[in-house]
Amino acid sequence: MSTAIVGVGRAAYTRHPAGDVTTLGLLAKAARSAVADAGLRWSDVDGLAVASMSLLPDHAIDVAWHMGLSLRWIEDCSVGGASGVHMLDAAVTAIETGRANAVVVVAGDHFSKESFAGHASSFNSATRDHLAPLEFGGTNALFAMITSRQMTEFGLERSDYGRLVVAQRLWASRNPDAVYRNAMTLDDYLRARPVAPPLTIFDCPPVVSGAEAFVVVAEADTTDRHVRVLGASLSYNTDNQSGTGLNTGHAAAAGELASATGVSAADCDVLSLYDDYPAVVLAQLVELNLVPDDDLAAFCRTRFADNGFALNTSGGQLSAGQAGVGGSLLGVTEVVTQLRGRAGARQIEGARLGLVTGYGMVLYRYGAACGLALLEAA
Amino acid sequence: MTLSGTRCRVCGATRFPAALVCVCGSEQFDVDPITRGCVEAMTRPVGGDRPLLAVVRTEQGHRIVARACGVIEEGAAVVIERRSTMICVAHAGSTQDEGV
Repeated sequence: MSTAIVGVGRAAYTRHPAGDVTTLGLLAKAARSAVADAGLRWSDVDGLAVASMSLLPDHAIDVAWHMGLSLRWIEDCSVGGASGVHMLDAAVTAIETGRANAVVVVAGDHFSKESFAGHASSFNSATRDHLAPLEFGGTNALFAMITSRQMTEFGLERSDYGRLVVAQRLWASRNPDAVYRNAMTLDDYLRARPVAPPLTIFDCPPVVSGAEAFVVVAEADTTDRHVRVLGASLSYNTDNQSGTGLNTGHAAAAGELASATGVSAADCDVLSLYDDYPAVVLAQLVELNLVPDDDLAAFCRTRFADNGFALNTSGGQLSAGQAGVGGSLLGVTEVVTQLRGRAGARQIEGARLGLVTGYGMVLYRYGAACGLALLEAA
Repeated sequence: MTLSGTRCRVCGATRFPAALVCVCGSEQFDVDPITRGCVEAMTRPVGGDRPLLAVVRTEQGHRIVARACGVIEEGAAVVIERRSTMICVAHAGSTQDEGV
């Protein structure tokens, strides 16, 4: 049985949320708009998956209750930036096994300044015990060091990362939902305020309040243009935090997915690669075998100019914004939008196959949850 | 204080942070002192009086995140210790603590 994504929705991203904004409210707004976009009745929904870092003390079942949903299938997801792909895969399984007929997948966050700062130091016990005492300040320092390692290994300069970041900003300029749309030149990137060298403010996604959602049903239940889910593959704790962080874990998952579907990243017309940091995007390009001879420097210097490469066409989290774990769904909703032909000024003509990755849960030095999904226009 | 990880009594695998169950399935561990390594990467977050942080490859092959106590550079051989709750590294052979 095949499954399909038939609707997407969101709670608009904002850098300056009004005083009465709540995480619950954002999740409800996104879910409601996705179900409306799917053309379903609210009462059709019988499955729900939720990911959020600012929902406590509430959980998915509270969300169900506050949204008036009585369900046969429910999931609380805690794999951070891999949550979107994880929940898509879980929703597909729920439908394939008959646990649910229509699943809403939703993720989003609303942080106060205090809750965001506390979040970084107590993310998990290893962070609390081994990183917070260093006054490490959060994941920027960790990925700064991974970036400098990547620069050494691949002969990259800051301008190479800049080319990716500038390209994503150019995509964002064509996305009315992106929070940062104003033009950025390579010079702007190189002169940006440092955060943790070699990273600057433009290497870190802007934190917003917001939420994203999509609806999954059996393909047999679709009546209109939709997006078929070809498959997903995930990997959790691939290497016990023993590596450099440059092997994101996607390579094996991509291989498994290619074997199962006959489709690989190179076949895709549009890609959403999880972009918490530019280095993570570049690492995934290598893991997905998209970089000839693994020559990342040449790739960066030739492929990103003028939006010649259909990557993170929403602008990605780096320019569209990171609504906490909502960022893990941004890639899914963007690829779906592209495959449905609804991407407006940033539409990739004739987009038929799309790939989405997830990456998240920095357990100690880098993300331990990763995965990817392949989607097809139908 | 000495920083410690675990060494599996069955397969010899070493882990930091300490493992609860080894990849081989064993729950039998010895305390494994982590005392020497090599600096792989460094960064000092910007803003106020922020520490110099480093990823250090230990002799056993782990990678840990530590705070530099004194001047270090990429590739430097360092000694590793725990000061209260903080993991610190300093140039191997240095006799002076130039502050954190």
